Amino acid sequence: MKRLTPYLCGWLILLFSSLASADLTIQITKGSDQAIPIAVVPFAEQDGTLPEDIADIVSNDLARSGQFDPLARSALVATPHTSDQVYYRDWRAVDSNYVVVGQVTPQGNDYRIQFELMDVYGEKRMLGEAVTVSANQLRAGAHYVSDKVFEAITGVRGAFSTRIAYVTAQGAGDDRQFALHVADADGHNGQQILGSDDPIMSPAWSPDGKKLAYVSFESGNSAIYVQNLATGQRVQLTSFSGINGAPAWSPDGRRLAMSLSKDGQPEIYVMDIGSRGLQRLTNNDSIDTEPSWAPDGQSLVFTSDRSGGPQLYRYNLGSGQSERLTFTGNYNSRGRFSPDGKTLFMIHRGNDGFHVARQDLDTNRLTILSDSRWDESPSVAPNGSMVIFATQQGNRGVLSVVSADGNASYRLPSAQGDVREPAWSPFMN
Amino acid sequence: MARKERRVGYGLPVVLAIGLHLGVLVLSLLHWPASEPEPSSASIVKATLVSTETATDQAQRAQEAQARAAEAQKQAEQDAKAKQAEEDAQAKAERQAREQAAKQQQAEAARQQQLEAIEKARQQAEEAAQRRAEEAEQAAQRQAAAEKQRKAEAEARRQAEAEKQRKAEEARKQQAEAEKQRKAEEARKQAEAEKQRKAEEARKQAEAEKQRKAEEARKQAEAEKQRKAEEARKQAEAEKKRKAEEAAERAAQAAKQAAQQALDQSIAGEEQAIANARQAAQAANGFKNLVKRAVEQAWIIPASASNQLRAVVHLTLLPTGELVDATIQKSSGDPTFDRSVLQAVERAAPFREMRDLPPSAQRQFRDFNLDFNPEDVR
Repeated sequence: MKRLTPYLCGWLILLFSSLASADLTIQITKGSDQAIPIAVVPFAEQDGTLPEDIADIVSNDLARSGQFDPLARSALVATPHTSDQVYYRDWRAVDSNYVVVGQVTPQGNDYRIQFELMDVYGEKRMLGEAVTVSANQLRAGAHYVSDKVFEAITGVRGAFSTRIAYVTAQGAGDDRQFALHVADADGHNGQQILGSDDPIMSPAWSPDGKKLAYVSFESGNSAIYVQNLATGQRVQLTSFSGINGAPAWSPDGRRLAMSLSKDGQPEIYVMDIGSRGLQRLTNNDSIDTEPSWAPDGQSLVFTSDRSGGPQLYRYNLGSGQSERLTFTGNYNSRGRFSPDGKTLFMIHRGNDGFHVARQDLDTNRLTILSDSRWDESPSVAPNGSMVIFATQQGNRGVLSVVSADGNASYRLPSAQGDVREPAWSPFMN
Repeated sequence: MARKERRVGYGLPVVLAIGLHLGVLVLSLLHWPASEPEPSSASIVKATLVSTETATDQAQRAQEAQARAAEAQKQAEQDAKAKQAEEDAQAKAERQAREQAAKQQQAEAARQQQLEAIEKARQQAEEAAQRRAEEAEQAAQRQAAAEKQRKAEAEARRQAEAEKQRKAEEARKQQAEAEKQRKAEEARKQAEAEKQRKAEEARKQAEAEKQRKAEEARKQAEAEKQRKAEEARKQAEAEKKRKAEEAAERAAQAAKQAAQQALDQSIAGEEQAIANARQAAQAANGFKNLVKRAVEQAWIIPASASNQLRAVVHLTLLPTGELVDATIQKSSGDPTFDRSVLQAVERAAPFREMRDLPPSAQRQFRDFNLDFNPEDVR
């Protein structure tokens, strides 16, 4: 009997383990922080004279988002152009989660871009679409492909077809020239829409993406203008004595928040664009400026030094009350909401300079995103995935973009002179 | 200081003493020029040299001088008394003679007699006055002398007393000093002795300690030596015993083995099964960890995912570890998230290590679940 006991126990262990196997569950609590591997196969074209490489533009777009890791062209195992030609096993072998294939065919003066997206492991075609563009809109066509692919995979709308506005300054002293530009989100196709001997500041996109509000000193004093991008027409909205600054469109596009010092210190006002009626929001002895609307239009964030240093406050239009939002560090300015209103992006002064930072409005945790040191004017992409900002490279102002999680960043191709005050447009369509 | 005072103190009495002697001498010479000198000075002294020591001689001489002075003084006093007695007697005789002459010359004229008598009386009165004046002067001189002497004596006494006291004081001081010195010396000697004693003691102790240690070391060495010898002896003995026992054991074992072999063979199969089961459990656990690591490594959590998302995937594997099927058993509700977990499984497969599992463990992993629930997403 004594000898038999261990055998009995052994059998019991086996019995239980086989019973348990029916419910065996392994907990997966961590993931890899690598970007999603994707293969963008060069698009087929009939005569090989296409001025733009669509697949290359798409690859670059996806890579800049920080969320994708496009396979190098030299590592492609095959060059299919339609889903029929895709052998999933090939792409598994190079560890690509997705494959993008397509072709460009001329249609009169235009081009038809067809593209398909495949899930390699799911062995599924996820997307098949076509878009027709004019010859000088091939880049825009490529950005459209990027947007669709990005959205199909991440579930988040792509913002590659959006635009940016920014101010440049060239020359020195009396020869100093200021200009307002608009370009594609990747920095290409830049166009000057305004030039002046006097400073231009604070461009702000209207919610429909068709107008820009900005501050110009062309009259000798600061004044807020609104310019129609398509027609070039513009109107002077304000020219109060003192500061006329920091215009910000309400989400419905009918009102403009701004900072005016006509009654003393700079205070936050809201102007009804139709009636030009002005409503004063803040009233105190400190500087209140840089207003920006929450996505729901119910409140505004603004910078105030009422606590001593610049900090961000939220003005609730319903209650007329202001509450302080930032408590980390002694310098937080230029607040901008994420599109879902849950996150606030800002300029935060840390130990080694001014950085773009992000604060979760639920937990109030502040995270520094950029590793440059003289950052200013953050502006959030309409899908909330990226933040564009101005920073210094040598003695020059340049534009930089950082992903909302801080994991990826890139610098925009540098324009001439100093570049500053970027503003990311809303979705254009 | 004391020396100076002493000098001043002696000077005055000496002068006074000399003055007194001179005064007495003058008086005796004035009144008694005819008086005989001292018989002692005139007598012949037969002197014999007893001692040549000058110190005692001097002392003696001083004593003698003092004695002489005292004697001279006594003589002077006696002389003075005698002189007075004689003077008195003379005065009486003169008076008697004058009375007798007066009586004899009673015959002379009464007037002349009376005149003479008056003259005589006047002269007598004059003489008497003169004599009285002299006497008074003498008395005064004597008194002064006496006073001087008394003072001198008193001074000398005081001086002597003071000297005596000073000497006593000095002696006392000296004694105290000596006592003090003696005591200090004694203390020093004692300390020295104590020191020496201690040093000696320490030396002795050190020596004793050294000796003790040496002794100890010697003893230890000896003990060690003994112990080793003992040990060696014991070991040899034990070895001997062990060998003997081993031999016995071997013999016994051989017998026992022969007896048990039959039984052992019958259980061997079951023992193997147990070992296999344990091994299978271990292998299963290892495989589980392997799958977990591989899937986590392959899972790219979507940027849009939140902590609330959770999906369960059911896996079916071949014994070779190849993935037969992966299906969402419980959806997260987010197609992007669901796709990401399926992709993770597909990317991680096949799990070829499954082939190394014992068949019992392989059975567990023919199908199982993966529960995707990210702990820390951005």
